[in-house]
Amino acid sequence: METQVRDFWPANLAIIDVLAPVGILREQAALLGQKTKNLVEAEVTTSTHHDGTIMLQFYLVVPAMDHYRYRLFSVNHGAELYPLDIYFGSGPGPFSKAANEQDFISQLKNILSSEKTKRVVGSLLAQVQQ
Amino acid sequence: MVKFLFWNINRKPIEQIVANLAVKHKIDVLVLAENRILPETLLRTLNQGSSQYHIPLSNCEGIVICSRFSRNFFKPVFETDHWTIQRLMLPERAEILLVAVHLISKLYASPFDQIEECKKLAASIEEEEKRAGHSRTILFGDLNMNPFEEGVFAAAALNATMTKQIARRKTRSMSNRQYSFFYNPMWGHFGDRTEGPPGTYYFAKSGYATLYWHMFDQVLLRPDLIDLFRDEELRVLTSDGNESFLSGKGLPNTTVASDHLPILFSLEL
Repeated sequence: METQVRDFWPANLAIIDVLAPVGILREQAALLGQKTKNLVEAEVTTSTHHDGTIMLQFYLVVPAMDHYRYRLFSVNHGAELYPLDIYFGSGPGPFSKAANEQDFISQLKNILSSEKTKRVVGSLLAQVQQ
Repeated sequence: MVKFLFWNINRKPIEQIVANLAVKHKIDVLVLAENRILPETLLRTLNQGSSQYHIPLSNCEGIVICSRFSRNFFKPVFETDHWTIQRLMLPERAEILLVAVHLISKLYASPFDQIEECKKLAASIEEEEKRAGHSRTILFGDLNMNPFEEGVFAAAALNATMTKQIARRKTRSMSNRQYSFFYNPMWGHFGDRTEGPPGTYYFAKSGYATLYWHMFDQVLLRPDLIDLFRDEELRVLTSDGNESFLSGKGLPNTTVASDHLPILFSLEL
């Protein structure tokens, strides 16, 4: 007699309508090189805490300065992606929290267009072009 | 002999005191954390006499370096807002890696976060040592942890041990991975049986477990630099020669200077 396998999984298991923060960051990282003729590039690294927290780090990289690297900001999130913590600047704690994807995108825009980011990228470009 | 001074100046406008220390101790590399003094003010004050300090290139917000050496002798290789790793390439002397840090505070980070940050720092140092082709690395600054906390002594973190003898083993093995040692001379500067104060920072929190004095400000050395380091030259300073940084009770006097005390050390490069 044939035993029918019971399947309790939903049909739309793999469909989620949320973009992972790492994807959003990699998209922006890829754009920086284009904007600076690859003089200043960006890369995103991921690592995992023992407690399962995912850490994303957003680096500026200058190939012509012997691959000098500068960590512009970092992001920590859990398995559920949101809410997440953003660490930016020299403050002792998290710079901000993002409750959802839209909130994260909005804060990412603020970071990338901040005076600090413009200053650091500008300074690196100036050094390379000297 | 290259003389270093590190001080977390707690956002105080104490450029004259910093300059007094720089002159008195003939500091070659001066590193400040929590600095809010404008670079032009700092340099003007440091260069009042015959000194010629410069600020080497850095994008690290949390640390400022001033040096009597040319800016060209410093090369930043990896930075965050909490640390800067620089190659110091003095003419006719062996290059060293200089790591200046102001790590995250206990007020805002859990011990776990502090350890994780130290692991990231340790990994970055190892990577830069590989790229530089040597391990002549000196790390100093405000670690916001004591030498006996895991972020400082654990193998996968900074792996800083209390004796030269152990550090000279170079590495320790854990789960088939090799971790490079640092030597942490600050262990010898705790408590009353030292010439200097009992620590570099005083904090009397309420609760049963209170240390009062902490040694958050530290210098760590890779084994390859131990022979160039003089223990007797490492001091926690309590005065600039004019004013004491301590109150009548022997605690850091924040009306005069910072809540941290500066550390002075040197390398025979």
